[in-house]
Amino acid sequence: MKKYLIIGLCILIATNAMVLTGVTYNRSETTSQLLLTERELPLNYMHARNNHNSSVSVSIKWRTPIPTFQEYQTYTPRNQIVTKAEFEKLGFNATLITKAYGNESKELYWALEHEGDLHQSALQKAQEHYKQLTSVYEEAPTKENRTRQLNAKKLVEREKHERSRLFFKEASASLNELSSKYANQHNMIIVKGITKPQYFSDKQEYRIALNRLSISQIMLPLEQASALKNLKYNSSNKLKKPRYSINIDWGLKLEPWVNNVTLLAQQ
Amino acid sequence: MDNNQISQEDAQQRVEQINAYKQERIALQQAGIYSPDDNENQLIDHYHQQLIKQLCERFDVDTTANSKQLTLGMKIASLFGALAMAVSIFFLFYQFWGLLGTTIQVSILVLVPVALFLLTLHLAQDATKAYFSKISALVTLASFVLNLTMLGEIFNITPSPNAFIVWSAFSFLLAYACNARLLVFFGIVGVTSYIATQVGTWNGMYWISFGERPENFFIPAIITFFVPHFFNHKPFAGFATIYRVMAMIILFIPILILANWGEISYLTWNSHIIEGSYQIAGFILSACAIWLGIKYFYNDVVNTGNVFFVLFLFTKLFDWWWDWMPKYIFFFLLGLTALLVLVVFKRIRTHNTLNQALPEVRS
Repeated sequence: MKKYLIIGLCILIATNAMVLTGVTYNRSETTSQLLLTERELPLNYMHARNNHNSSVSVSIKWRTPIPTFQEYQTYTPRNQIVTKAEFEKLGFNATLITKAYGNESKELYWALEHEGDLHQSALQKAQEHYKQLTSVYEEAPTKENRTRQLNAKKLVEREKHERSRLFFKEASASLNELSSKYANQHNMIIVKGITKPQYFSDKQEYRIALNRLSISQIMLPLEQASALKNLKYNSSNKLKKPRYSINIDWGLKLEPWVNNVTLLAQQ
Repeated sequence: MDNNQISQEDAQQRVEQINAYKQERIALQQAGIYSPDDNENQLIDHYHQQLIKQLCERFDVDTTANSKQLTLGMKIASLFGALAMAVSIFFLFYQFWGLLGTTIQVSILVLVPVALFLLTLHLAQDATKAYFSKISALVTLASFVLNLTMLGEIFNITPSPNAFIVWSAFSFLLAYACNARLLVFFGIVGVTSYIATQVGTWNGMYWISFGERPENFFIPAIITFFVPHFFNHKPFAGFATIYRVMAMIILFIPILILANWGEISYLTWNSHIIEGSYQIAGFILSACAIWLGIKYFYNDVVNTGNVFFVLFLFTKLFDWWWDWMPKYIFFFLLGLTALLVLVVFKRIRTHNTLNQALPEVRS
């Protein structure tokens, strides 16, 4: 029985030591830092509905950019067209990937941009879309055109105040490459994301499907969670301005932690 | 029989052997064939009484049919009790952890498995507390799983497959410490998952997707099957059976899936060829399992082989006939096929019984 005791205690203690050492290592240096709001970090839905879980966590909400040649749309597909060379540089074998679905995913490094050119581009497209529909209504002031114009105006407001400003910029198999490229941009973060290769034979197009972030939820410690515990889940269709901001750091292992949470004054 | 070298299963078999001897002696006396000397009977009965008393004190064996039934009830109760307690640990922590600071959360997560582990080992030293030690062992494993899972959530750690191997190692340790077959099951699940993730990673996939390619499970299935062959499990009742049965399940279920869904295979052939190949492999391997089980007297291997052979057969019949055959004829033919299988197995069983019988009976 003594040998079981020794081996068991070794497993328990060594495993916990390794995990906590990894956490310490990750937090020994900040690789990137962002001040995000409820727009990018909505409260986890389960927190609102689940009475069995007393913790508070937020989800990381990100978007893909609207292609230059397309008009404004609220939903953009989570895949990116890449060249064959880019596809192979990401570590996918173009010879073996011959179909669009059913391929194996890979964990790659993603660069995400916060409140940068990609968000400005989305906002500009929303405004252009609204202007276009305003012209259409002025030329033909029907009820239908008026509804479309008003919806477009709501989309502009949503883009300004509600929707996430965190956009996918690019993926890479090399962390060093992305770090060097965006070293001087303080609105960029590099995280790990699960990516699936696709090949559309009809268009002879290579794409990468951006499935999800490796860490898509962030747990708030008690000290920071208390500020958000009383916030009610808002399911209405009205414009929702962010109620809080969260300062988040990412460390050496690209794992995030919360620095502080601030409630925002509601206007 | 040297009491220091026997297992609980050996002790139970000894008790049943003694009871069988007593019943047979009574039957022979009633038939007038056997009339033992009274002194001799008393000596034997006294010896048996002392032996049973020793075995009961040491191994908690069942001495009557009633106690056997109660034991079965106790085993079922301890299984459900253990599972319920393990689940309650998760819900207990989820309910209150948000009210605790990080330091307290981490302290509880680290210390609870250690404390439960010490309790488990303490209970395991007394064979009469075997049921409680097994419940404690399962709760200890659950608390260790909770330990790593919750640390991952608290500190937003990137998921890693290494957790499987650690959980598996701990599960095996508890299984052998407490003679708990359920923990062997969890250990096999853990190590199978870990090996499958590594096989998947070597083939270029992200580890979490290891279930998308059933072939990832072939290597762990083969390894699991041969564990009892290389390591003696005599002191651990039922462990060898668990290894063999689990290995066959881990092998045959992926083959069954690939026999019907060739697109998810690593092979780049036409999917119909892949499905056909795996169907043939399924039939051959399950037949081999039945043969192997009969040859080495592994009843568990024979039974599991039978189940999968029949599954492969019925799946194939469904493929051939379901779409065009009237349903009543389809099910009738299924029934006839089952009867045919029954006749074949009965003939094999009779053949084996004759082979194992006394030479004069065979002649």
